[in-house]
Amino acid sequence: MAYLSDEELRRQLKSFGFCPGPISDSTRKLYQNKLQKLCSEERSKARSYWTPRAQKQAFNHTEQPYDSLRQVRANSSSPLHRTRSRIRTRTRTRTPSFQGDSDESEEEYEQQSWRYTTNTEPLRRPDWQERCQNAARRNVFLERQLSRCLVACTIGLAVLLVWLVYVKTVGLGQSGDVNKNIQLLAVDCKGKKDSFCAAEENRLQMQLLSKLYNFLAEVAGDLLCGNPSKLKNKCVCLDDIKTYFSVFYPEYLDRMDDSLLTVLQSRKDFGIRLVGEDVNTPVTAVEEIHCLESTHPYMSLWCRLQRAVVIVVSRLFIFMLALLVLWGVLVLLRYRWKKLEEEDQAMYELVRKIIGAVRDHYKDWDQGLEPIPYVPIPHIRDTLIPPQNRRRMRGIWDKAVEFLASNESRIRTETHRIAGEDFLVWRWTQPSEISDSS
Amino acid sequence: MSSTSQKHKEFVAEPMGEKAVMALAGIGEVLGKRLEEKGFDKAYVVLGQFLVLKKDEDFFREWLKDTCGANAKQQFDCYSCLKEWCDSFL
Repeated sequence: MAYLSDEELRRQLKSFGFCPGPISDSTRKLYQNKLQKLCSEERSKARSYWTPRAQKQAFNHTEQPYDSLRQVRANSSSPLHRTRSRIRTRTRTRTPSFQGDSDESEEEYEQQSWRYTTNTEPLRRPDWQERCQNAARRNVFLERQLSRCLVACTIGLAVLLVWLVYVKTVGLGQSGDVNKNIQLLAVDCKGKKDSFCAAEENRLQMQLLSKLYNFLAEVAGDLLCGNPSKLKNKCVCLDDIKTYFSVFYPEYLDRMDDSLLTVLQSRKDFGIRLVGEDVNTPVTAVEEIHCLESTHPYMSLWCRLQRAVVIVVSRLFIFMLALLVLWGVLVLLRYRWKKLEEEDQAMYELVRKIIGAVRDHYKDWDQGLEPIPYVPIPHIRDTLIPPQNRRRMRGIWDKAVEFLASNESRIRTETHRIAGEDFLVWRWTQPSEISDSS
Repeated sequence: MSSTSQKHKEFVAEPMGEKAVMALAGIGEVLGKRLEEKGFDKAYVVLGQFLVLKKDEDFFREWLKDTCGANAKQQFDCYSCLKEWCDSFL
């Protein structure tokens, strides 16, 4: 009995990409085994790839063969445990008692097919499929969440970056309301030494210093960023500072010296550098101060970017230059090597021609066409190289002659007197007709 | 009884004509008997089977094993004998 029709079997084999030959009584079993093998391979592949698409593909493939297997299983009429016992007995006695009639082969096929179906566990298939699909769905969901999180983080970080840049360039030095505080203060602290006044005094000094800092930073920034007010030096003269303060902040003027003393004595960094007459020696007393300069100049964002780019480029410049030089050297070297190789090729070509010419000369001599068995070297040169090339190819010719002298065993270099003149000659020394390697 | 390599040489040297199935390399008396009982009484019938399986080695060897119980060496000898014959005469 045929569990699967021949056309069905052929169709299913073709769906796996395998093209069977004619299906006859003798070949049917082989092709059925092949189909089962392909099915189980497909299933094991589907188990290892847990994506919905691959799964779908696998199921498209396994759909029909699976039906065929189920059909096979359904068609086998014997109950499970009976065939199982039959298998046990059959496999033991299979090889010795080989009778070879068609019924037995059919039963054996039945056993084999049953064995295959139990191995593939058809009953658990829906659970496995569902588990697989659930896992796939969960994976996709997780992936979406993760990508959303990453987008949010990126946006947050970008916002943070922009805010930081803004704060650094624009937000500093926003202390504009000290004047109001000064006016509100009614206590006269001149000359008094108690702690409150000392604290007040300190506060006022700090305010002055902050004004000073701002002023110096702006000056320095202007100087560095294009110098619109045509300043010469970022170190501002003390007199100029005093003038500036007398114009804008007259109430601080009398505290100037005290504040400078504080800066001098304090170890904290106020952002203001005190420069004496001589630039290199450090300042020790207030009287020595000649000018002040800022160590943290104010520069707009654009200016900062420009400076950064310029610095980076200039530092890289030397590096780039070195790279360019190396690259140029490499190009030159390669050119040189190519030229050498071309010369070598030309030399080998010439060597081949020379060998051919000498051999031909020998053959001619053998046939009686030439009077002497050897041929002068210049004659070969003049035969092979046309006059216009002789000067150009002199180097290659010499190399070829040298090569022949050292590497060619069939040609011997000798000296002979021909027509009264001494010549270096080549003689072909291989008498037999062995075929050439070239 | 000539050895398998001798049989191989003799079989491959000329068209098989009406040679018995035991003339195939790897097929001795026992296997030949089994094949004859299955209806493969001449070498050309086995050749027919070989060609129907599209000269595929795996299929032919499996078929041979299932039909007459040949071991791996016998399968290989028979397959290579037929293949060479086909290469020369087919």
